[in-house]
Amino acid sequence: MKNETPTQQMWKRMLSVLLALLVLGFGVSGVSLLNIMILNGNKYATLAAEQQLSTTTIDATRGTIYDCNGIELAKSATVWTVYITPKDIENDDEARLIADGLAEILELNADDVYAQTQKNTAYEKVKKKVENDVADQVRTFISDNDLGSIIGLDKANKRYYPNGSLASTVLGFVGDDNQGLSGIEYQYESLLKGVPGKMVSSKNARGSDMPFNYETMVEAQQGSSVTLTIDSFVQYCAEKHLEEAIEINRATNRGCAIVMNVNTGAILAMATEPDFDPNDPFTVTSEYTLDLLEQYKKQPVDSEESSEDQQEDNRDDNTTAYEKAYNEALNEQWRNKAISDVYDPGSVFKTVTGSSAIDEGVVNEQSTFGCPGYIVIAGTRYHCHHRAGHGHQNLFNIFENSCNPAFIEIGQRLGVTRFYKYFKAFGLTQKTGIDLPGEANSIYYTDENMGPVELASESFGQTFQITPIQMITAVCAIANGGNLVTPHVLKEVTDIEGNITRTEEVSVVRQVISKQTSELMCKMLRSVVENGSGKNAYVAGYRMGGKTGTSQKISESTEGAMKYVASFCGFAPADHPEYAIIVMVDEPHGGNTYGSAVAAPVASAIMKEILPYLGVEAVYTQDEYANINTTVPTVEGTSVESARQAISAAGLSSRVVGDGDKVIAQNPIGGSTAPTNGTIVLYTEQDYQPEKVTVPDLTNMGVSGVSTTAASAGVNVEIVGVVSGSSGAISYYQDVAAGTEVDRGSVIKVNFRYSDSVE
Amino acid sequence: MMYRDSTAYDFDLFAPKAKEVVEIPTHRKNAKPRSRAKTKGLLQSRLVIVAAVVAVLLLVVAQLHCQLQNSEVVCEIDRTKTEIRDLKSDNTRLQSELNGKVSFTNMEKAAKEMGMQKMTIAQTEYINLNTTDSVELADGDGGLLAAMQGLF
Repeated sequence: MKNETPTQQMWKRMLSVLLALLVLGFGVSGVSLLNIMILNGNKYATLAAEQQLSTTTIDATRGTIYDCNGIELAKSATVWTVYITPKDIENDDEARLIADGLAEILELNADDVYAQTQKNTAYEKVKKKVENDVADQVRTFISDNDLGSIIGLDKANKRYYPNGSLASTVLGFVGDDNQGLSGIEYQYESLLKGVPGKMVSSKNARGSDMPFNYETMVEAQQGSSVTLTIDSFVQYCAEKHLEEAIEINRATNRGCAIVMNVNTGAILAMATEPDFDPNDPFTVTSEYTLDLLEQYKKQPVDSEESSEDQQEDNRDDNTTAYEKAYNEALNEQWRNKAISDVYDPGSVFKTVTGSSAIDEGVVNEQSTFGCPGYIVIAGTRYHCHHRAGHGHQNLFNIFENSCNPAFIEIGQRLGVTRFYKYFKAFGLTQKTGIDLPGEANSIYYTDENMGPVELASESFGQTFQITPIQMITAVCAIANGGNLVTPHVLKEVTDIEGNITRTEEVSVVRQVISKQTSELMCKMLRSVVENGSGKNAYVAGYRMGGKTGTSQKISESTEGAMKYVASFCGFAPADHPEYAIIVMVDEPHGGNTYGSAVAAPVASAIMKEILPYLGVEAVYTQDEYANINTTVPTVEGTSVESARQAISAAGLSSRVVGDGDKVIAQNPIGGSTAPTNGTIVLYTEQDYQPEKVTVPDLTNMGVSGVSTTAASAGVNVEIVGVVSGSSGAISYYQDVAAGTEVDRGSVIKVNFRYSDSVE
Repeated sequence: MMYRDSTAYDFDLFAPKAKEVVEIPTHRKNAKPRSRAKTKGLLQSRLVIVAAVVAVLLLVVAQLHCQLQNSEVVCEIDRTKTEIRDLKSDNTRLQSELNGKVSFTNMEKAAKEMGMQKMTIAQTEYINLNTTDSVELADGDGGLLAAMQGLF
């Protein structure tokens, strides 16, 4: 070892100490790091993640609902939730700026928004379900005022119902969190809702974004789409005519209509009116209901002795009563009457009694019945609606006349056991199992507590209650050869890529009656429409069959104010049934309460529109063919002489206005229809002025009266609801109001119905 | 201290000293003089090394550039996806508005105002078509198969 100088030794010692300190220092750090990163690494990483990372749920886009033709009935799209971070607002000026700016863009109250800015929170929702165009305005406001750290937009979803109130009680609606609350939205929630995603991003302690960008996302999975058996056009026709009927007949407890495929149970339309708009489900839409609610708004009469506190209390009570009544009205309008409300089916149920008796062999085509106008069962007298009695009748007659004593007699012949057996076999003791929520249970006598009087009442459709869907399902079984099918609304389910993941099959519950019984019943029910109480349900060319019903709501009626339910249930074509329909109008107050006058015309109007659309071929009888409207030939531009000939060949007459040789214009125009023997007005001079005439009152007249009055007034009439030339029908509605000025030759549609008092 | 020596007359001091001989290491002793070629080779190898380093650096830069481009493209894709999503939402909203305007109710009302009427069942004509499936075979030119068949 060399001899070292003192300086060198000192350096060595100093370096050693320095090294030792370094080793010690780094050692401690190393041990600490070892502890933090290795030994307790997971624990601290978790704590850090909890503190620094924030998880935002990404809503899944809800699946689309289609009708059977692929028309969108409900669809979701991205919208935005505007929020603010009040904690990051620096001063009151900034708060004011935010409040005023957002209030203007989002159409809110500025003071309410300002109040939110004063809260000591990191997240305040200002408005939900803001659409893209408004969101863009918010973004512009944010960037113009450099408020990116205070105002933000979260992605959300909104449910659109493009067709408004169409099929609203079937579709249902969703809540604020896009969860189904009623109807199909609720029934198929698990399929439609999808799987939410997640976005993890880094936030500081105040909840704002970190300077560095870190975020990772798990994409949401869109929900499956659902295709229904509902046909938009059929649904529209059902709702349109039902709504008209409710208005014309001033029904106070709503109405419903169902159109169903007789063989498969597929529901093509299910209408309840008044209904609601699922785009705005929390608003009452019925004018009648809103008028009723007005009474709760009226201020109470405050007497002079009432103190201010008492007056205030009165107003509060009124507000509460109004709110309560409004909420009840909302629940009422959401209710699907076709499946959730029970009613006494009345004479429509005679189809079940009759088919049960025929199937059991208790009655047949040769059976006869006598009706003196009443029947006595166990000391109870039951009157026929035709007090004078129908006299001697065969099996066809008792259906045509809807004779109560005859059906009571049939019920007695069947007996309690067999009657109840068929009552059960037709599915009337249990729910149909339709894939909609809220189906009600029926109320009935079982065989154990049914005596002869109960049997008598039930035989003609009183003293028990079923739902409209149960009734039409039973009638479908009668019409389709005896098979009780399960009604359904779902057609198929498709995933996001369009692959069909589920298809609804036809479900036959059981064979209820024989094919022969079914064929006989179809003939008899066709006879009801052609010759009996169901004449108002007649549709030329389509062999409609069915039964009317008028039931008393005894438990809900008061002395001298009986309430009724008017209904009709039928199918077409009667010789080869394809589609069934039921129409129910609850508590009509339009002067006539019978099913034949109130419900049957609605069924006729609906079937007249939908059967050609559904491709059911019309087959006319000679009489029908002679009375159907004629297509008006196009004669504009032709000579007056040839125009006259063409019009005459079409079975129409003509009236020439002017002295010209050529036809300049005609009314009705070519290609439209005019009634047989109608008049076509031909204008032959340029700058012609169409002759104006005043439409007369054409209601409350027979067919011939209407034709004569219309001809005198210079208008043509299209007869709707009856075969032209038939007697007994009375007009009740015209599509152009009396007193309106129209061009001479215009066609006025006039609706007729038979107003015999038949249930 | 007295030395008993002949320093004063130490003639060794005046004797010529042996020169200090520093032994040259053998490898240097035996080393041949460097040739020009070797020098050149060394230079080349150094150039190769530098070139390799530059190439590696270039690769790294290229990789970074690709990553950058990739990130930009991914951002662009995300931005476009967001735009598509927003446009789809706008489309849904506008479709809803349009469907409301062209609802069955509005269509009927507009048609009536224009003097139109629905086609009646009287204006429908039914045509019977052959509903059974049939296959029509085109006449062939013959061909080898037909010729062979013709032999039999």
